[in-house]
Amino acid sequence: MTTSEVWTYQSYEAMMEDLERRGLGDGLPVVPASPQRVGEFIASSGRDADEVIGKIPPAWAPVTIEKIAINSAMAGCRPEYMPVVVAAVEAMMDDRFNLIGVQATTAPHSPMILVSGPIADRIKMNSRSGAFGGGSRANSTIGRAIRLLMINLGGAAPGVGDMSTQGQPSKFSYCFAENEADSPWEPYRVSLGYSPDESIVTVAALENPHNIHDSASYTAEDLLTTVCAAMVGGGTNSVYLGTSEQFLFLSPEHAAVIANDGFSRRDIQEFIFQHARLPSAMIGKAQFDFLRYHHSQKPYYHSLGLDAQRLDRIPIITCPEDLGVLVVGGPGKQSAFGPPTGQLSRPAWRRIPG
Amino acid sequence: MMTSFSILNPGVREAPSAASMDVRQVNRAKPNVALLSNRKPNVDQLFAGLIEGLGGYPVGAIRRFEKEHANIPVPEPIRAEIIATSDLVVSAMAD
Repeated sequence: MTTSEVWTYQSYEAMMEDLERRGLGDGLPVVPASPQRVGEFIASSGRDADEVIGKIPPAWAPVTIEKIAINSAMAGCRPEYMPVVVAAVEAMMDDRFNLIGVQATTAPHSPMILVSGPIADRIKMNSRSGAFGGGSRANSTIGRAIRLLMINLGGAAPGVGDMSTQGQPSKFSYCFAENEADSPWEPYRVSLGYSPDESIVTVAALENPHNIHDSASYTAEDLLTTVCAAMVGGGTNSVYLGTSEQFLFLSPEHAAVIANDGFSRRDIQEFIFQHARLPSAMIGKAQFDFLRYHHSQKPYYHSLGLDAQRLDRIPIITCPEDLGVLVVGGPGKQSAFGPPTGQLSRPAWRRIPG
Repeated sequence: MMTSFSILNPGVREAPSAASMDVRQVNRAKPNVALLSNRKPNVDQLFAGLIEGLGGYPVGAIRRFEKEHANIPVPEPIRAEIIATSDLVVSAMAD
């Protein structure tokens, strides 16, 4: 039994016009979330329709299982995606994630929804060629469901509740799975202490994936040097607001090159930590003066043995463990990283039941 | 012929933030002003301009508060102090 208001229309176009007038939706056509269809989604969650998961800022509307079901149906999800969407919402409620900051910041970041575990194959998520882009119903619609919840319940309409100066394309959807079948290392979730049999969702506020192209390197050090060059960048939030967790998404071929040199995940983390440092010569004077003050206030900067006054080598992560390393994608020498929000938001993780 | 169909409201009836907002009457002739810094680089300039501009108005005490970081909500103790001591708060964006 659902408790949300029921709206009746004579045509699909009339529904779309009404939703647009009410400021609901992401601008794309939606699937009509009929009471019957929503009931199927609620049943698939295995939870009570009126269970409150939390409140979504900046409007602070309560997010219930029923509202998650409605927005998932609107997004085009299948009912069996519900456990993933619910777990992602629960993760976003973690104080670490600072959803109010993610929603209202002038920065462009959007929640990345990363699924690691057996459920990814069961619901046909794409972890291989084109995983970040369209083409997979599960990837596209789970990410979209999260965004619809942020807009429809959180009030994050552009320029109203979402103050992102420019936004970014992944505000439509940003969801994919780990390609653990082609990974030379243990699955990402296992590196976090979860069991191989479990599935987890990771949410992290990131910029769009930034490509790292290197078809020339055939040693781990050469390739990771390219990775470091791509990951350091003046003007990124991790430099401007202070370091936070980063994610490196290696393609299977890049991962193989690195693993063939005997590099473990830990070795990659250590290499990036040591070598991905931004030279101060790449920063303008005003920004330099601000950053020198800003970083001198941060305990980690001193603990790293760096001279905040000289600000000679700005780290992009505080410690090796702050780099999430996993394999995503299909054939090709193209990897990616997701520039983070700096200290605005930290990643959060939740188990996906079932 | 198209038959009618129904959907469920994906949002809420009204914005809870507006519905639950407390309103406090300010009767003071000279209201106290809180300036809440988000620690962004331009906040000092912004506040200097505000203080100068407020000089032409009947305001009471002007007190400055600091958030630890631009993108986190104001900590509860600071929020409580602002509520207790101030009638008006300017929360700086200072981008």
